[in-house]
Amino acid sequence: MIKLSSLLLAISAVFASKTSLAVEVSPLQAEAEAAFDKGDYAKAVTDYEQLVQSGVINGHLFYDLGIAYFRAGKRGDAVAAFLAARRYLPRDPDTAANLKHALADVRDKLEPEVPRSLASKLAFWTDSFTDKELAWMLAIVAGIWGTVMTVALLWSRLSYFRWYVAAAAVLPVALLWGVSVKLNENDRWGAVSQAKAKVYSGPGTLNKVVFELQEGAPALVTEVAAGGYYRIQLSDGKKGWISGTDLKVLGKI
Amino acid sequence: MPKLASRFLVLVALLGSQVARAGSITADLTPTDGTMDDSFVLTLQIEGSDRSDPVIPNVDGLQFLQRGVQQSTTIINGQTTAQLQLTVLVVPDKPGDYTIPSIAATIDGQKVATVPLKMKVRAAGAQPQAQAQPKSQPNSRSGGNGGQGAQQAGAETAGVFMERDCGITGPIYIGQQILCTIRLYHPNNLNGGQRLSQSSADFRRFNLEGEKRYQKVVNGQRYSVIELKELMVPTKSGQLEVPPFSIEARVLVWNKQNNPLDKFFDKFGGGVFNFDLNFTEERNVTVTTPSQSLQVKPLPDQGKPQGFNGLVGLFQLESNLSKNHIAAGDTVTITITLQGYGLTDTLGDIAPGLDKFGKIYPDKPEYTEQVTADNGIVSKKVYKYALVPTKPGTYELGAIELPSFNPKLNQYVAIRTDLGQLIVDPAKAESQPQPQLAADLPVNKEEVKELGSDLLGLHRGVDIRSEQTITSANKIVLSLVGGLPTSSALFAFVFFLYSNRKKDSEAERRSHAYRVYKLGLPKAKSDIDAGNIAAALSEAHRLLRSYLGDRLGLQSGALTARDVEGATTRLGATPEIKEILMSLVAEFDRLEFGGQVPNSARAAEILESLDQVVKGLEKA
Repeated sequence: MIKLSSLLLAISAVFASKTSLAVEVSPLQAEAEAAFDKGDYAKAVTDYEQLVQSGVINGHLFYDLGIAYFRAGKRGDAVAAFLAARRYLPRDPDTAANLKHALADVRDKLEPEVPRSLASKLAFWTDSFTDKELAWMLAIVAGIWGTVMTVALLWSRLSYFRWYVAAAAVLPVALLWGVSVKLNENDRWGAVSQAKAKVYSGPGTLNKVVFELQEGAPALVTEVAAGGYYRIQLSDGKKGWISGTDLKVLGKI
Repeated sequence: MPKLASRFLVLVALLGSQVARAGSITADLTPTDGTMDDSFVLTLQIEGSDRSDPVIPNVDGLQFLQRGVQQSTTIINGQTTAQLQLTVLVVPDKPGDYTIPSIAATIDGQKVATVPLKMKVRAAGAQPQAQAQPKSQPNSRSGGNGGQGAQQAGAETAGVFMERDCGITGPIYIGQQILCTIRLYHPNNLNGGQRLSQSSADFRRFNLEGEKRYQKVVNGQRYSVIELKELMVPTKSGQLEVPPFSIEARVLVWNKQNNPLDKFFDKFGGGVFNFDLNFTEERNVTVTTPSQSLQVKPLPDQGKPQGFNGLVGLFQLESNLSKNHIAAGDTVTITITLQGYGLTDTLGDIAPGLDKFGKIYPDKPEYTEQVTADNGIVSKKVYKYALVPTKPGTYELGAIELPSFNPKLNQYVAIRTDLGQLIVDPAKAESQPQPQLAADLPVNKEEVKELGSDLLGLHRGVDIRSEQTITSANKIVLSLVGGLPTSSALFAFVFFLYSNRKKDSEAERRSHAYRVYKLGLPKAKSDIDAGNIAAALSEAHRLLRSYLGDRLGLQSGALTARDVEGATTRLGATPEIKEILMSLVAEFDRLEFGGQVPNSARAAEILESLDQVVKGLEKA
């Protein structure tokens, strides 16, 4: 058990260190960074958005885009970008700090968190990992356990070892449960990109307006309806439907 | 020309309430002098409940067309009065002088009648003596500074015109409120209308709710009057043009020329072919007050106090402290309320010197205003300041003084409020005794003060194109890495369960064999005791075969000496047991195929041998 735990930590360390390895950047990225350094934030935003539109989903990209948005005066878009960056860089302190800074200017008193279920509270340890990291951890741990268990079952000389290996199944099972909880609760956060946005009781403007949000207000997307409407939940428990033109959501929906 | 109008009877639904006042009937004709194109309106006012129907007599050359009935009941001091107003359009067939005779009715038992009315009708297009042009329109009471009276808006207004009276008697100063009365005159042909908004760069305009309606005789003509109020505040000085007050009115106009049948039969001289058809039409007309200019004076320089910030009106100032006694670092809220007659919305900060007592955080001022005809503009502005004193002490916060100009007094006045005294104790943490520190230790450490915050920088040198979601390729690799070994473990587990189950099945069969043997042996022994030796040995033979079949996994029906020897060898039975077993099998085979039945002693020995073999095999 102890060895497996150590292995798990080592795996997460590998993922963490991977992000800090210096690599050669793309020309568009270099162009965006140069524009940013010159103070041409609109150009930087355009370059970063071009990368996003090409289908890249990367926490560092969203983080840099958020800074460019903020400097260009697009506070709501900046909050949305930092929320997306948090999804893919959950342990990054820079992202957390910038998100806090961007939210400080938001007029609506809302937090980028929603009330959690009991299962979600128990699976708190998954908050520090992305879906991809958890999937890799689960695959590796399950692979090691499956191999050892197969050998222990087929090789009668290891019959005394079978019970230990069987007990170790709790590790992949816990990982599997954690991954399923994380995937179920979803982390699709967005932010209001307009000065003011109406939130309706249903998808469409024919429904009743239940409340209004101001630029930068963070909202969790819980459902996506046809017609470009998102069902959202706020940190204070309010729920409603908002047009996709009013709520910016970056990353995989 | 048959006068269908002569048969025109006005039938009225009478009010059933008690009427205490004597009845009356009045008639009014507007205009009394007009052309064939004009609309002549006869208005009958009848007061009283118990009344007969008024009958309009025949007049040659005139048709009477009923256009409206209005009923109302008023109760004053318990006395009920029913009122009826009939509006009748009078249509002349040709130009000429006409007289409408008295119109009589019996009201509350009394016969009452109107006075006869005369009317002059000129040919179409002719200029009447006192045309719609200010025939003798009422003049507005203009102020002494150039105001002009009301004026009719033109012939197209169909007898409807407006006047504005601002009641100005003295000099007007910038910022002073001007209450104007707008009167709309109409000869009972108004069918509705709406106010047209007109903005002005020189005046701030406030429309007042409510209106008055009454009747007024102007130059011999009776008009219905709608009275409205408007309040204006000049925003700059000089000779200013007062913005006009306009109403888009819907008026009813008799348009005989649009009657194709009349026009057709007029060619034949009218006569019996004249038709009394209703060809009125509703026309939209824009009625506007006449242009008017005002001389607005700047506020006088003489006596203008320093710090005057344009406040005009009559005001008062109040202040309040949320607490008078606090600790350093705590917050006290200072509330200053400015209210009075006049506008205060553009007034800026009124307490700029409070920051010398500590940190000051002003709230956005709350502004409310109410505009009424009685009081004009009454506004209220509440300033709130959160003061956080940083040092202990007793502070005299002083007074707030605000100069304003009172146009009624024609002078500047100062309003003031005293903020009072604030006692600030040392901060709570400071007031507690501090531990004595060694002289060489640093003292009075302070938290690093945060002076501002900003975003952290870009993530440079990181490939921002790398995919951080689970791709299809990832899924395949993940399935291989985690799924294959897990699946193999599951298969191994199934195999493990299967093999264990097989072993368990054999053990169960062995257990079953011994239990059957133990149950059958007493019966064989009882058969020997009863002298039934053949049956006893037959039972013993069956028990042995059954036991060997289950214990050794052999089919008892095909049990041969060779099978038995092979199985006992595999089982690891001792040679002695094997020998006894083989002799038993031979003995039973002999008896099976017609051998002599032994005596009871021998039979008991055989049973003893059988028991010895079974127990020996159980131990194997």
